[in-house]
Parts: sequence; structure tokens; C-alpha cells
Amino acid sequence: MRGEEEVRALEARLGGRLPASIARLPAEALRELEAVVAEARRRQAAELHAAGERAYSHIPRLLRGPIRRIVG
Amino acid sequence: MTPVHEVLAARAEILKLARLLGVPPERLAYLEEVPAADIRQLREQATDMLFTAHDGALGRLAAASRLLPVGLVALIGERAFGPILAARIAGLLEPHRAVEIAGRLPTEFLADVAVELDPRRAIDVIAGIPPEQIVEVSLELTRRGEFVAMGRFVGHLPLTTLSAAVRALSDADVLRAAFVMEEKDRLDELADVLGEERLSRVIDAAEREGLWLEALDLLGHLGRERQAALIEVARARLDDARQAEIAELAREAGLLERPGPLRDLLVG
Repeated sequence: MRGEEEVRALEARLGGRLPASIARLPAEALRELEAVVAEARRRQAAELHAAGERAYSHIPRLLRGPIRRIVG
Repeated sequence: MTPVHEVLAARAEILKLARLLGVPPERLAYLEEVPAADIRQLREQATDMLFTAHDGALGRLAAASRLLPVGLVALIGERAFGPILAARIAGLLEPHRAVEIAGRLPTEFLADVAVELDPRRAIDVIAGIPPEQIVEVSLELTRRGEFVAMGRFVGHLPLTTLSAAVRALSDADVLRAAFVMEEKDRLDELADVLGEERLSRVIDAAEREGLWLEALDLLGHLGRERQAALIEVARARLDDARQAEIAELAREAGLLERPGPLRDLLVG
């Protein structure tokens, strides 16, 4: 079954039109693809947060304040 | 029927996409029937999304890193950030500083970063890394069998660096890397770098290590004259029965569909 709704969701996630052959995939495959892409993005956000915290332990105390002001 | 080389190209693209998204390739098996060029386009869209998703935060980290000495940034990159985030941030650093940081990092870590890097976003950094360091990273990637990752960035190397890298690789590894190289229009340039004698040895490696599909793909991207010369080299080394087997392999791979010396010499 064609998944027009799934195509729209994946295009919104990726920020652009899908190649035609991918837009023609079954709805179930498109849902799975969207889930995998969304999970990759969530994982990246979590890794970024954790890495930022780990980084502070390596930074000299005097510089932590100025660094925090830049990083926010 | 889909030509073999197209099936292989689609599989290579699925591997790259799976790595980018952090899932086993089997989870993307439904893409096997999609043309490789479309999977590549999807991967570039996903790459752009992931590389820009946290642009603000990554850009602030890159800006903050200017307050720290290069050695400390390298240490933090390796110990706190790891290869995925280091690859995301590499293109946001000033290129000369990124090259200096790379100079402080171990080859194994740089190979991990190379696997995750989007070469389009770090062209100036890649171009600035000294050839000897690129050679070390390339050798590490071949040791790991990471030809797909190598194929992604090898096309972005400046000519001097590319020359140094191919000199260091074995004949068989040259074939493996060329097969998955993304900028295939540079294969003729690569052949110039290799020279005729080395190309003959590459043909020997194809026979010795069962890499004819890779060799035929390389041949298919070379100029007509060089193609003809190399096919003559192959013919001189192989008996009629073996030549017929290779011509059949080329036909199955869909490499004989277009007229040209490859078809004339293998079929004629």
C-alpha cells in the first residue's frame, strides 16, 4: 500500500523531497525508515549532552566559567 | 534482471546508510531493490539532517575550543567526545586548527573519525592533513577492511595525498578501494598515478584474489586506450577458457551493455 502520509513524515524529518523510488516503498518500510532516522537524531542529541558534561572534567577550573558562557 | 554491479553498489550504499544511522544493515534490507544513486541521495539527506540538527550546540563547542590549547582539544576530542561527535564538529573548526588537532591524535582514533566523517563538510581539513598521516589512516582502514569508509573520502584527497595513499596500499586493496570510491570520475586520474606497470600488477591481483568484478568496474571507468591496453595485459595472462569466464562475469555484471573497447575486446 502506498504511504503518502509516511512519505510526508519522512520528508519533514529529512527536510527535503525523497527520491521517487524511495517514496514508492511500502508504507511499513517508510515508517521503519522514519523511526530509524528519528532514533539516530535522538541518540546524537543524548551523546552530545553527555560528551559536553564529560568534557568539563578535562578543562582547567579557571576556564570552565568562560567556556560555559560560550557553550550555554 | 538488475545487473550485478548495481546490486553491489546498492549494498555498499545500504552499509554506508546503516553506519550513519547506527543500525545493523539488515534493518534497511527493504532498500535492496532501490537504485544505488537514490540510496546515496537519501544518505546525503540524512547526513545533512544529522550534521545540521545540532549545529548551534556544535558551533558553540567549536567556538569554545578556541580558548583551549590544541593538545587539550585533542584530548577532549578523543576522551570525551569520541569519533562520532568529533566527526560532526571537525568541519566547524578552523581548518588549520583542525589539522593541528588531528596531528595530536592517534591513527586509530583518526580512522574511527574517518569512518564517521562527511567529507563534503571537511574538504579543507582533509586537504590540509599531511600525506604521511593520511597514508597511516588509509592503512589502518584497510587493515580493518573498511573499504566502504575509505571510498567515501578517498575521492576528496588532493592528488599528492592520493598518490601517497595508493603507493602504500597493496594491489588488491587498490581494487577494493576503487570499487567503492564515490568520485568515480577520478578513477582515470588514479590510473595515471598508478602507472602502467602497477596497473598490470593490479590485473594480476584481480586473478590471484578473485577481484575481477572490482577490476572490470575499474576498467569500465578508464579511457579507451588504457582500457584496451589493460585488456591485452589480461589476455596475455589468461587462457581462452578463463577469458570466457571473465567475459561472462562482465556480461552478468551489466558491463557489456554499452559499446566500447571493453565489449569489443572481451566479446570479440
